[in-house]
Amino acid sequence: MAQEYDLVILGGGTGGYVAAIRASQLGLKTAVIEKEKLGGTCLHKGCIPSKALLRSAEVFATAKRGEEFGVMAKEVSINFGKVQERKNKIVGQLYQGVQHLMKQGKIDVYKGTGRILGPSIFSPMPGTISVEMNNGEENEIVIPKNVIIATGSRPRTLPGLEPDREFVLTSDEALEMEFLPKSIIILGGGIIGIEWASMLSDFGVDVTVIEYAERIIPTEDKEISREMHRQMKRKGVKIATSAKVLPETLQKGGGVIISAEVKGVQKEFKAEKILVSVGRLANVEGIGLENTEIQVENGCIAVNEYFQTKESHIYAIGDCIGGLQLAHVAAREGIVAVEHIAGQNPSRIDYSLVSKCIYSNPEAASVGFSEDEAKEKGYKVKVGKFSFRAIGKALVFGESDGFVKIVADEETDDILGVHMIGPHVTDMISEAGLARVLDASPWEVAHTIHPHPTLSEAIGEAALAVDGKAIHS
Amino acid sequence: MVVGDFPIETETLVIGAGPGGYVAAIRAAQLGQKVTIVEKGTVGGVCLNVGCIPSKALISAGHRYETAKQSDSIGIIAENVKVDFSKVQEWKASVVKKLTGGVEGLLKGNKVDIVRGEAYFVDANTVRVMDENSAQTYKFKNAIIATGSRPIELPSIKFSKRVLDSTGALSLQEIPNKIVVIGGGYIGIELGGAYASFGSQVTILEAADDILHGFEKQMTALVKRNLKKKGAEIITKAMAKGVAEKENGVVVTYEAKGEEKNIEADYVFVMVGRRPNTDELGLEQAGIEVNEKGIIKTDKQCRTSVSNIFAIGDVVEGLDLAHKASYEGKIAAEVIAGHNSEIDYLGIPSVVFSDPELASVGYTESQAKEDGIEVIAARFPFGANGRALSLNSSEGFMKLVTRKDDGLVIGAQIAGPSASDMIAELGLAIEAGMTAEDLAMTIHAHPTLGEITMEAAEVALGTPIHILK
Repeated sequence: MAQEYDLVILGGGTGGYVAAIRASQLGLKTAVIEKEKLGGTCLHKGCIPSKALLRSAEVFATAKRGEEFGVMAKEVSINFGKVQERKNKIVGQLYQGVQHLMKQGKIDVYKGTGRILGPSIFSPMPGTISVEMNNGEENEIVIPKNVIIATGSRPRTLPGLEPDREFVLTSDEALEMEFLPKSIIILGGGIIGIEWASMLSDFGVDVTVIEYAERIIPTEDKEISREMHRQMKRKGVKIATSAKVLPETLQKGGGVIISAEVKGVQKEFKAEKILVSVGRLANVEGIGLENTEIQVENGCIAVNEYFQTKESHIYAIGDCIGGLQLAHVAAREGIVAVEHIAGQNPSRIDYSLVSKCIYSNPEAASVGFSEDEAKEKGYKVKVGKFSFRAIGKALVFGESDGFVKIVADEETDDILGVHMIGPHVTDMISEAGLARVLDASPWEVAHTIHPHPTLSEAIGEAALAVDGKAIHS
Repeated sequence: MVVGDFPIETETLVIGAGPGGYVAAIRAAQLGQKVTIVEKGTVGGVCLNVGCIPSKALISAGHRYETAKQSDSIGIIAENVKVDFSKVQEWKASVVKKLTGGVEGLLKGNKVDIVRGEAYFVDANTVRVMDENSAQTYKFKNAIIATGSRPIELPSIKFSKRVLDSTGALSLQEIPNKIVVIGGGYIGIELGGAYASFGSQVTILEAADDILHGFEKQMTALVKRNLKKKGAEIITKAMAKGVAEKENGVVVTYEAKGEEKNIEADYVFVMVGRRPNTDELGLEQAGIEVNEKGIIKTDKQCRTSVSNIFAIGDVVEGLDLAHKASYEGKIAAEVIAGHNSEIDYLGIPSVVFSDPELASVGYTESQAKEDGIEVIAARFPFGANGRALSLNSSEGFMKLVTRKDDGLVIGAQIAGPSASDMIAELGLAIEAGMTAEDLAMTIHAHPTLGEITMEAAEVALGTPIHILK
């Protein structure tokens, strides 16, 4: 029996399940089709498990340097099995939560692979979905008025560097490691690569990062990259930038050997394993796009500002449409799409207001334009910077490296971007994000009283520094 | 004036170099004033030397100790964890020294003259500054009084070697076995908590029916639960009556439920509040009015009853908070420089570094009700936040207080990890006149604790994503 729905969502990741909840709140009869587990990459292979591992790594690194603060331990060691167990427990807990939310919202969940059909006996329009069920039962047919494609993405691999679970890994396999390697090469010094580099290095693994661009985390402000590079090196992470890896040189055996052209000179790198983190690819295959007018550009589904594809009743959100590929972006895109479907008039997303976080140790976070981006866009830029070294709470934490940098428009006095690196900055970026939404001026942020002694004082001071009025520098 | 005493002239004279005074001095200097600052102790005042900073250092070291001991569950095993308390104290001192040295450098860098000694008003344009051996007269155009406050001593319980105020409690050289803390305010809870983390057996006596006045019961309940986990005992509605000193300890007598009881301890911490340092300044000679509690009366520009003399921080009305003092210091300096500044904040955040941290800004739900404002108080738990789970600290919640008719954010309270850092965003939201919808519409990065703010706003709007209505 074919079921009819107001909305069917292909993919139950962060974008998909949030969209489903919003749809249910708006009274739409909704179903989600998920081939693996509700929660998607974020919950099972991304944000959450990696942050759980990062926390264990941070505690290990902190416990080892306890002596500085008068806290001595005879020996600090890692029980990696337990580290993984705890990670799985957290994932399990949140996974249950999401399943519960689906039930509460009376959202039907189909465990299988959905494929969009063209015009058929069920509907003159494309969009009917045939679900190949995981349990091997006969395909289910669901007939939606509207569809949201939220199929996400997967780690990109390089020809010759396909994951083999033993020597070559992507983040998917790395999260499931049962033992820590002695050494690892991380191919790609982007956000994911640097989080892994930081975590594994804190766990005592010998880490080498090979980055193609001339600096690590190249999407961030230059000064943030420079400080991250400095701090990673201090941890003992080896970093090669402007380095083009040569996949054909890969040798596997007792470990891996691979060469890269570093600033024009060929160099050989050796380690126990290699982790490939060179970006992510949208999941657009096998979902029946060919049965529709939907267009795929540069490997991603093309949409308008309300996330409609060429088929106006079929929407697409999240990683499968490219862009920032962040869970919080997918969630918001899902909400906008659903509200549009429900005939509301949602505000469009301004991507320059979206904050980004890196959970390495130290953390980094940013929102808005970097100094260079702002200049390229033609702004006359003024910059305020404040170091955590002058913040009492940072000294108390024993983590006083890093800074807050605010980029503002000389003419309008609007804050254009905020960039931070240092302790707990991912907790502090929300304020900066709100300031961007408000089009706040540095003065307005400085005028807001920041409690003492907290790390957030650094934001107030950086805002004062934009006009040369910082108190503590 | 003494014959042969040549007064030194300055434009702005600041008395007291705590977070109120030194910030005022720096801002006044930035605005072109010739500034002299008088300090009888160490620059940085209570906050840097014997308050916020050293207490947070002890709390932080206590957390490190607990984390090291309790990290088996996250796969990190530390064997034989011990505290070397003299090392903790050494480290604490190094943090304080770094910061006070920094403040001194900042004052010098801003060309502020630092004078050591105690200031005493001669008239509305003159002070005498005395140190042990000499005295000097200063003439000023404007003055800012920022002399701060000191712990209150109970008439029946005098400070001694074993009866300590916060300063004494911060500088113990060993971890006592047993401590009685009189006063369950934020200072007592923070320091009592720190020593409990280090393994002391702590008893907190609070006269009122709950600890941490101003925070609601659901939040103080979390703090109490964690204190109990650390082995501390909290006795409310308990009046301390007296302390008898013995050879190696003390016996504290208190009354609770109509019964008198005794507790033995190594030390007693008396943390029942602070009083303003306004009694030895010669305020009357300058004609500055104070109220019966010694609080200096000021207007919205921080001006006292004498128009060229300003007062800020713990000596004026309001909470004894370093960031309030600093804010007032900037206002006073700007007014002196001829700006039309005045105090116009909507909320001063306050934070308690308890376990979990507490933070509050603007109205609480009950304060709003008292003021006759109809509100929606929306709660969101840390337990439904992925980041909190990954940090292994998912206890606590945020409560967002919005006005019922238009959704305006008028207050927020947080109990949970990093509450002290999260409150800044709510402060900005209140200052900027934002609504729950504005907060909900702002994309908060995943997985961050900041998502809790967005989700609480969604609860207020009736459309929460990650919890059930």
